[in-house]
Amino acid sequence: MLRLALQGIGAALPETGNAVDTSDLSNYFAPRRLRRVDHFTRMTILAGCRTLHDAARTEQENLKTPLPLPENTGIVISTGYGPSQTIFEFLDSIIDHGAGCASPLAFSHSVHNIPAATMSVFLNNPKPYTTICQLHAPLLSGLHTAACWLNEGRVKNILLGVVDEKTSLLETNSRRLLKKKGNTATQIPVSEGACFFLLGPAGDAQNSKYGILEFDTVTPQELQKAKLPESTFAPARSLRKLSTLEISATASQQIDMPTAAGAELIATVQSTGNVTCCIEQAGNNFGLIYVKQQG
Amino acid sequence: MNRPVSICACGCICAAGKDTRSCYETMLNGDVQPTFTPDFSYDQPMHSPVFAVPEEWLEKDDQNPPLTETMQLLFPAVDEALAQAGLTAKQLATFKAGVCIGTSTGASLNFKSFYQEWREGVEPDLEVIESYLHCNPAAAVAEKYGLNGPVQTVTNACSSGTDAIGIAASWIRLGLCDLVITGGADALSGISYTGFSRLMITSPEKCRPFDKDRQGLNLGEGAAVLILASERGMLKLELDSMAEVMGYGTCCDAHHLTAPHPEGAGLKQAITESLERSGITADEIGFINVHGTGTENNDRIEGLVIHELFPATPFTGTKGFTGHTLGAAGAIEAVMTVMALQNGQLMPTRGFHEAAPEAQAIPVTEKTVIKAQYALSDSLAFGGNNSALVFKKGARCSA
Repeated sequence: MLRLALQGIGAALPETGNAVDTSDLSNYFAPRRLRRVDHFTRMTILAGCRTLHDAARTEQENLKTPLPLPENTGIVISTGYGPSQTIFEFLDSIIDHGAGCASPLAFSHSVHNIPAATMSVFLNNPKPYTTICQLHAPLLSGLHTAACWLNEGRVKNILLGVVDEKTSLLETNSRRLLKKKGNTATQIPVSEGACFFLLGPAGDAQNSKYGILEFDTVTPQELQKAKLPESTFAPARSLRKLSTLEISATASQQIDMPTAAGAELIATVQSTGNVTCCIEQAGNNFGLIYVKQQG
Repeated sequence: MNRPVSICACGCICAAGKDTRSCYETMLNGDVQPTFTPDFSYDQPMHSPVFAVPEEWLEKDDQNPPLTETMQLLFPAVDEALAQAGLTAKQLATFKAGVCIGTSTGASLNFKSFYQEWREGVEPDLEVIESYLHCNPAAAVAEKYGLNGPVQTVTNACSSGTDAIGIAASWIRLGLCDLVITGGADALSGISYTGFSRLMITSPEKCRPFDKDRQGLNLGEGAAVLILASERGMLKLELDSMAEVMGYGTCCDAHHLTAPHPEGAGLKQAITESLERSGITADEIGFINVHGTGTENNDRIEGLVIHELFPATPFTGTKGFTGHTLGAAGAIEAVMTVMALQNGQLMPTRGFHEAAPEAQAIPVTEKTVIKAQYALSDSLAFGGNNSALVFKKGARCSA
């Protein structure tokens, strides 16, 4: 089991399946600075800022309120698809205007690490960052990198975010792929959002707001043997597979996105109980993430 | 200081060669000319040549859904490394093994034709989407070779390969696994060709890293992997290390999304951290593999930093043999750095002829005999990311 202190949480999630409203971001940064920031990155920065305030137990009163960024904080962002819409905007510019007039701005903003880079610029944080892009357990993978960097003393804190955005094409493809597989059951709506966690070394757990995260990768057999707490959460798309293993879990959000486990980990943290748990599927195995309150 | 991590095998494919040895020999004794094929220009004349891997070097793909072009490059590199380590699928299953791969286009939604048809109201064939879903680089390697450890695809643009290796070494140190297949892969793509062209940083002729007349980069493609192993893993494999991963440093500039910091602040920090974590000083580095894209900005800033930190250390750039292979670049250059350490010969900086009058950092121009215990390889990326790795010569070497 790897262990990390959980110091703060924050999210930018949609209201009942709609797109995430990021208008609150103008409470943190002047609209002029935000004018070229794409939706994926806006969700990222908004959830990150909320997390920093949650950890510091402060609020953003106005634009002059300094963001309570802890000293020496690295950024890890994990995503299923990356900033999809900016990629499509670059494709639009090629199709509409020809390759010779395609938008260089759209291209540069479509690169996967631009959200993390933009966040670093906005937080004025010249520290390590990394971006992970995969459908395979993006939350667990981000936690692994956070644990490595904290364990090595590379940084003192990690702002870990899991982020995905909804596009019309993603919705269409999801529906068509399910239909092709003969799955005509009720589809979980494709959604979007950003969920962030401020993490520190396990030794800091006594002072952390939410205690400690303990996590590991387990086989289905090990998961079946694990004594799971009453409050166990998992993404909606994983519930059927878990039920075949006779594992009882709840999805707090009826949404489908590669990083849905992030929203479930937020729910895990907010649920009652000294020990709560979140499960993320990792190929044929599972990521098992416990939240343990201290004291 | 971080504990060194053994490298037990490597694999590489790029325009310079279809395996590690042929890439290295080409860089020492040969040359590669970029071409204007395949044509990536869509509706424009193609103005910058590319370093493409010849089709005949790749095995025919009969999978369904088809492999992406990035995976057609990555799998041969992994196969080469596994064969070099003497690892069969059966043996691999006895290790806790992870995979950490850097990429850029290999994880991008770069399907223009599909997107265009969809935009026009057609329901295009889903094959390209299914390929994308099955070909996330790290996940596809984990699935094909039955790996049971951590899986990570790093997408930090042009430093992805270097970052993937640094992260993989951390996994070994933290005890997450005994073996890691790590590196980078990226295929040429019309989307990135168009994007770099529109950013006006591609060269109409073969790239000339650090040269006074450099005009920009040429894109390339390829894949390279290293197999890292824990002490227990090395004992079980009964292998000597070909080299060791020492320190890894990474730092973003937090300055600009596409231009490096004017004084190279993030790069300096990344290199300094990689040295500190290696427990060595700058003067112990025997040679440097630089990023050296051939763009005005990159080479000027990188040259400043190299000259400041390593005023007398020989350095080379290999993109005149490979082109800029984006997410694969750091990995290909890591493998070539290990080869140069192992064989005691440093490749010239192909494309460089004459330095700008104000430039103080002059790369190696000829094949050079070196006696180095340590070498450094650095990468700069979009998003102001900077990363550096230090390697140490291993017990298995010919020089």
